[in-house]
Amino acid sequence: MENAIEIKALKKIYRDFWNRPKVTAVNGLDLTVKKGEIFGMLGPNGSGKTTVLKLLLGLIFPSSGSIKVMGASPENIGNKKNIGYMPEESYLYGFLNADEILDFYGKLNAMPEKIRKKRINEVLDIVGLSEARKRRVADYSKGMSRRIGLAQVLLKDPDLVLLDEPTIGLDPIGAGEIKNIIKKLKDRGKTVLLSSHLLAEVQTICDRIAILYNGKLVREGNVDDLLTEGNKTEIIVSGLKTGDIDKIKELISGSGGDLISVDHPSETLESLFIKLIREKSGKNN
Amino acid sequence: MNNVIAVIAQHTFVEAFRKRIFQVIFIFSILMVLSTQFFTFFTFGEEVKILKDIGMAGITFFSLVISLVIGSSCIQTDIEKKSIYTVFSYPVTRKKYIYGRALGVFCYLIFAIFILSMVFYIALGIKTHFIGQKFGEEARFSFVTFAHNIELTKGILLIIVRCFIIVSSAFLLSMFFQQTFTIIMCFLIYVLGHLTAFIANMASEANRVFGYLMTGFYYIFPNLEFFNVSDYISVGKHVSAPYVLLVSAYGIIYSLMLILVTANIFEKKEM
Repeated sequence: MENAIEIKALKKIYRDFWNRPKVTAVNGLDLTVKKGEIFGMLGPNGSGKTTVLKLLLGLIFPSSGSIKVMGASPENIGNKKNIGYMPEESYLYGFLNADEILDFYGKLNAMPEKIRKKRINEVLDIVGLSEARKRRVADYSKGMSRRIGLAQVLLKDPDLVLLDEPTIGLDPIGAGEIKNIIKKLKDRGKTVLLSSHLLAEVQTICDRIAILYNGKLVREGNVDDLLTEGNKTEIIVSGLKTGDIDKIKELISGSGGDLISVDHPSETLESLFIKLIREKSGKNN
Repeated sequence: MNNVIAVIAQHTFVEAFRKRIFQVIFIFSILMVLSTQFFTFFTFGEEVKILKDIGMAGITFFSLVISLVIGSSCIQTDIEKKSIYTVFSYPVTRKKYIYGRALGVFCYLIFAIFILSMVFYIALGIKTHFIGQKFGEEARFSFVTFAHNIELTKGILLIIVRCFIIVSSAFLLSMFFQQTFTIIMCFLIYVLGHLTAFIANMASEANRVFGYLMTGFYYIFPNLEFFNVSDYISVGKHVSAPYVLLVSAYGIIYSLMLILVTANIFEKKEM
């Protein structure tokens, strides 16, 4: 499989006014994102996630090392038609309404007027902002701002999507909808690189992840491979009688295994919340 | 014209047009120009002079404040609010972004000063009516011909070009400084730009080192005094068309050079 992003020995040192090194934000990073996958970049605040995204967009320049985005340098302008970016906060122009803001970005992407108008209607429907399209973006709630930020990414229909904390500030329903959109992007063959510190979010949608700390790569790999504990087994059954559990315990100790816990599985608070809200609103999925 | 530059220019124009602060300054300036209606003097000459002085002062004040605020905030706010991150995820080069921003601000200044000038001319027209009643038809006729004289338009044209220099200076300074400091520096340039004759005089009289320094200032700072023809116009003096053309060309070339330097610095700027 070809690579959408290739980062080799990347180093980024921020310097002060006198050109003295101030902070090493990224330190010898090697990272590869394959085409068609959802890749999660994890790390605490200050681990270098946003710096990497800025480097990928050519907003800042590497101190050393190399970056290739869709086979070209991040400064390659022609390549940018193929890259979508949603920043951490949707820093969009508050004096415009949703229609105008998408029209502006569509024009920047050199989209012909007819296609632009059609696409704007489509993406506003997808992110659920059709009814608020004439309201100024400055008057939007945080959740709505995130949606319009995502709408401008979808408008381009890029092959590579970079998302910085895509669900931050959203309620669980909104976050769930954004996650569904990201999954649909993957289904359509798009590559998604998302940076987040919300671990559960990354776990549910990412194929592979990289964990950064202090600008260095701590771990990289397939989510299932990294999380699966191969030497442990989980069995979930229903309809057991009280005595059956004792028999299972005996069987396990007889075969030399260690029983770690016997418990009733519980739903996550998030899934319970979504289920209840959907029941009330009459939505099934 | 390149499409990206035009799109960013249009965006900048709309941004300036909708910003509350500019609307307030604009309305205040219109009120200042209209206030000329309430000044009455006993002689016809006094009345004409005061009308033109206040009208031109209103346009000058408005254009300076707008140029300082818009020039210092236009790029800086985009960087601070990080709106620029999204813009540069599109096929937009950094140079085109600066050219588009500059073109948009220049267009807005032309538009705003044109509207303000129209208000000024209308205010003069209304006043004409009363002057006709007070001083007779002959005075009214001479006032009308003067009010619509091309001289006022020449003065306004030079105000616009002077604004281009202030905006371009603000663009360049905003590459290095925050908005408040950029405004202060630009205001200093505005003041020193009107004192270039004084600087040249100091250069000729000062010791060698200070003399070189002053000569450097003389050539680096724009000579804004070239653009200050309001005093001539208000006393009815003639400003020649070749002078206006030459000074406008000087102002436009100076502004373009500043914009080119800004674009080159911006290309290497980290955001």
